[in-house]
Amino acid sequence: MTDYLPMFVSGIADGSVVAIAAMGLVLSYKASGIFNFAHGAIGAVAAGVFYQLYHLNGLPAWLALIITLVAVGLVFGFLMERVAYFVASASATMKVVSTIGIMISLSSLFNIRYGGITKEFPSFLPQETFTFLDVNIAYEQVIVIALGLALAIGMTIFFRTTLLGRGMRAIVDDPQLVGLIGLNPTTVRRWAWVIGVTFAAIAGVFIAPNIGLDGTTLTLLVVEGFGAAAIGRFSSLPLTYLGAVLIQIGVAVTGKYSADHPSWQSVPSALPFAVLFLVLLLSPKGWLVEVGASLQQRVTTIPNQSRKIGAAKLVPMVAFIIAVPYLFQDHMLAWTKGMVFVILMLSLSLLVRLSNQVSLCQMTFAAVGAAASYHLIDHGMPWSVALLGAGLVAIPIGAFVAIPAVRLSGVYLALATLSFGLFMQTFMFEMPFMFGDNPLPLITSRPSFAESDKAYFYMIPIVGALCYGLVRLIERGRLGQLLRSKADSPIALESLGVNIALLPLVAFCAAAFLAGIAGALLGPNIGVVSKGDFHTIPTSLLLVALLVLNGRERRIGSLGASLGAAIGLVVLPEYITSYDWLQGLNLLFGVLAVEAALASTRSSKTKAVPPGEPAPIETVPGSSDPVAATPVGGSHVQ
Amino acid sequence: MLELENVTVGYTSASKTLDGLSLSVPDGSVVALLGPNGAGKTTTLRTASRMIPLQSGRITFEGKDVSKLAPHQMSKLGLCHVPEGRGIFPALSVRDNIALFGRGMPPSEAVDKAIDAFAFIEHRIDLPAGSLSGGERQMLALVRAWLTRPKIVLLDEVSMGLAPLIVDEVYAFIRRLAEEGISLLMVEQYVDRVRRFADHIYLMRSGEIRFSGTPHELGSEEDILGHYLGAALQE
Amino acid sequence: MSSDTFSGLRTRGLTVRYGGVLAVDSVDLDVSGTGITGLIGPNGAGKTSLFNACAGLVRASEGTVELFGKDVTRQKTHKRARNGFGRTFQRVELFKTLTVRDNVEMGHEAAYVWRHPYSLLRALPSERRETRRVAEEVMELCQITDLADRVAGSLSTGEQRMVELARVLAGPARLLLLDEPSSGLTSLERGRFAEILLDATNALGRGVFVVEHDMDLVARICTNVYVLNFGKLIFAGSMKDALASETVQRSYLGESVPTVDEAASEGAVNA
Repeated sequence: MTDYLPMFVSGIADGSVVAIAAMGLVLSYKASGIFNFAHGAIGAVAAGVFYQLYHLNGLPAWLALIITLVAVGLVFGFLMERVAYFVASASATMKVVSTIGIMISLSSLFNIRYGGITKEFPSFLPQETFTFLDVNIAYEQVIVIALGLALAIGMTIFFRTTLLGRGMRAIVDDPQLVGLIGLNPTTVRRWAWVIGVTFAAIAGVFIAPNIGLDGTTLTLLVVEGFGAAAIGRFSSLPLTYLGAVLIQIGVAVTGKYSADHPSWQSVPSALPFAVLFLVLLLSPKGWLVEVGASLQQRVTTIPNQSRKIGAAKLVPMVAFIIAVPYLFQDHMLAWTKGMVFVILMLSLSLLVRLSNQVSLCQMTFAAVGAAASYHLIDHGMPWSVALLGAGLVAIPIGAFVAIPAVRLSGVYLALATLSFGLFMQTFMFEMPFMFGDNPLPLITSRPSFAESDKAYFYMIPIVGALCYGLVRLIERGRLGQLLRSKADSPIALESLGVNIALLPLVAFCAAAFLAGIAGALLGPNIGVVSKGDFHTIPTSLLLVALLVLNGRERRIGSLGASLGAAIGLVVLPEYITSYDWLQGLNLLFGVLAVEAALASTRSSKTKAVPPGEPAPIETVPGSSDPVAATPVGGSHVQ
Repeated sequence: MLELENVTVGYTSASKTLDGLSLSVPDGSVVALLGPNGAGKTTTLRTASRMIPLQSGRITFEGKDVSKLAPHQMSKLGLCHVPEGRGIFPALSVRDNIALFGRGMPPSEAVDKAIDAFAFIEHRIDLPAGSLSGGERQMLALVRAWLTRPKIVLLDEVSMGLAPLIVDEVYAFIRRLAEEGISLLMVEQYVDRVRRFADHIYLMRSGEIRFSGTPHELGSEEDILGHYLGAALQE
Repeated sequence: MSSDTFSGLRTRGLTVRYGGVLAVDSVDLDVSGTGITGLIGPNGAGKTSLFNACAGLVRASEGTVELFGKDVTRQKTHKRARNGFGRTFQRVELFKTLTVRDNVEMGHEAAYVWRHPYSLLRALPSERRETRRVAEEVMELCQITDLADRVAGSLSTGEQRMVELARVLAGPARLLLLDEPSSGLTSLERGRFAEILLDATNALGRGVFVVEHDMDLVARICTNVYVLNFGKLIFAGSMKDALASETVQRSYLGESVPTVDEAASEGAVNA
């Protein structure tokens, strides 16, 4: 047991840093209703700024720290407040996409500045240790623990005793009333963002010495804080703090344990995501209240009526696809991959566009499909049967993810899918039954009827056409009509006698099927497949960001647009040899996604019901407003 | 004190909720807005406290044009709007509500004053405001009007859904505000209460003022019922 | 009151509380499955809460809700709908991106969903024919045939109300709950709505329970009314008696201390 004592100390130390990030996240979410997926990226940027000032420019650590926190806090606090303000009335999907766009942009900027390789991050805290109860403790750890505790206690006192703190708690209940009692709601929100973002910056700077200057790892570390925030119901700071510390103790202890038990080796990294998914999966109804959902506009997008695939559009597209092997011989594999991604796009748009649900784990379904088809072929199945089997195997996985989707919507569903994707990536992908028991990629084979690059390329659009046919069948059939109806007015559909809870499940299953097939097609293209091909961050996130760029919501995107997006995501990067330009392309995607989210709230054909309109509803105080209707004493920052 | 001149607002450009409405609340007076559901009374109050943007017209407060101000700026000028049924933060404790209401004074002093106004507050002070009964919520919301020493208070349906005995208590407090010289603009659907109390009455229907005058000029109960219940009464 | 199966909606001791607020206080209703029954009362009387408790959107704190002899108190909204409830909403709830025809057809098609494994993907030809026929008939009755191909979200409030009514009429619901159907309508549109509602429910043999604040409309369409104040039933009887009742008049002006006993002493409660 005493072997594990040091693990507790380091767990508490790591937990304190994650707790700081998580508390900042909760704070800004509660005050604005926008869940900041870019929180970790902001922490990474802060680490970068500190690195610049302290290590490169040689400023004293304390001065560098102050400049970093003030600059990052103010710049991003003000920026995020504006973005949050403008997307407050957007759909849940667009809210999620807006901060994902910022996350992608910041990560690319970070990578352009500091490169993709982890740099050693100099320690700026005292490295001496002392012994207490036979445990070697670093002063650094003591400082971090004290800082986490001080901020948690300080914020709790701030919320209880200051006008601004009380205002931040109150603004969740009723932003308009905050205005009526003489506090400027914008000021309250802005300071909530500044504090929240500053917390992310503190976490970024203090964690960096342990893991080095690496944008992706820093970003992911804050995502671990999402689990802590979930334990705190995305509202209570003390519980969030406690959750973060407990999770990180768990990570440290299982990390130590797995050193002697190799089968446990992926548990530590998967634990935080498993916690997040389980909390979302098991939380009782009404336990998690989506903040700011009541401010959402009832947007009426009048769809375009004619939806026939005209020969005028189809002929040039088919001609182009036929011509690809002749035009782009040098990059055939990239173009084939691009074609596969069109199928992934189709699968995602089934969820995001038709069913109005955000999925951030599409690559996970693809990974399941890829592994399934490999094993099926390995067991002697014909290639085409294995392809179908890959889709079918993915269906139960889709159904499993959909369990939270039955009750959760909007940002919580996005978080559930994100955590599921990250859990699968860190845990299941490591299992021998997925990608084998050694780190080498699996060798995949092409079907006998399409061995050549050209033949394999031509096969993909044919499979794609079948998938498109299935999607269109769903879109135009009863299910499509039901999903559109549910997106427009769930309450009306329910009152007609439809059990709407099961509709998202069906949509997820169909989407998983298509993604599974796409996954199975990926490997044989280059001959090998490995877990690294299916990363949730950034590929799944980029897919979602790209999906919203084309066309209007609520319709399966046109084939041409999906093709364009796939080319941008997969084919174009193959032509770019410079790392910086590659990051620049991602930056462009990120910025465009933010722009798309902002534009969705000012699209011309929307009819807005202003928030808090004196609806002709017979209101019993606290009954009609979903936020106010939380159980008494329920969800507020305590 | 407060004047609305030719005010037009609408949630969409197509439908206007208030159409060229004018009304004024003189210094230290009690003005009541009556009318059936959907007449635009609440919208009038929300427009006056600058929660709803103007399409045309002008609003002045103590002679100053306030058409472009935000609600929190109006509040600082001394206008206190107690919205319908929503004047409190249900998830916060009663104490935190009072501390928020009494900006600029120490929270303990605000709490003392609130208890002075309504004794029940003392026993509920650490409970979430959402657990209060309808009448208690309304009284807590009214406490704000007392703490912030406003020049004018806008009250929206303070008696809605409350039992008559509670309404008596609420009105006693409102009378106290009026006696202290605070101007009142109140929306009320119960006629009898306000006609004994108001200096001036506006009767609204369909976003327009249909009657303006003293309670005395308002006429008999039957006439008012006619406005509320419509022609059905005559059948 | 005997315990035989009642053809319509029956509540006993129905109570709804939110936090510390008692919105509906032990209400007994017997709403017939034929004809039009009204529910009126001043603002904040608890009408919508009572309504939502009947439709299943709000859980009853106490009491029972019975629908055509079946206890539905613990049933979810969609189950109640399958037991014969249909409803419209105070703020129109249409499928705004769909056409009017699609909206009305969905009212009918909803009953087919989950009926067979294939039901989600495609309609059977027989279902398709029946849906078309019913939708055409109902749109005709509601005089919206000429709007059939318009997108619902682009219509005026008055037209949307008619579409919402048509949608619920196209379904199998035997008792329709209409929540403030006249809100947002001009007086001209209200008249037309009343006419169509009377004709259509007569033609199709449906019962209606309506919450409404426009007394003209209530007087025109309702045979019986319930009057609610402070969450309590203060009157049940004919519309004419209701308007004559001093208790009811006072409740609108806000003076009386209303109790069922007092109203009963006027001889008004005769449910």
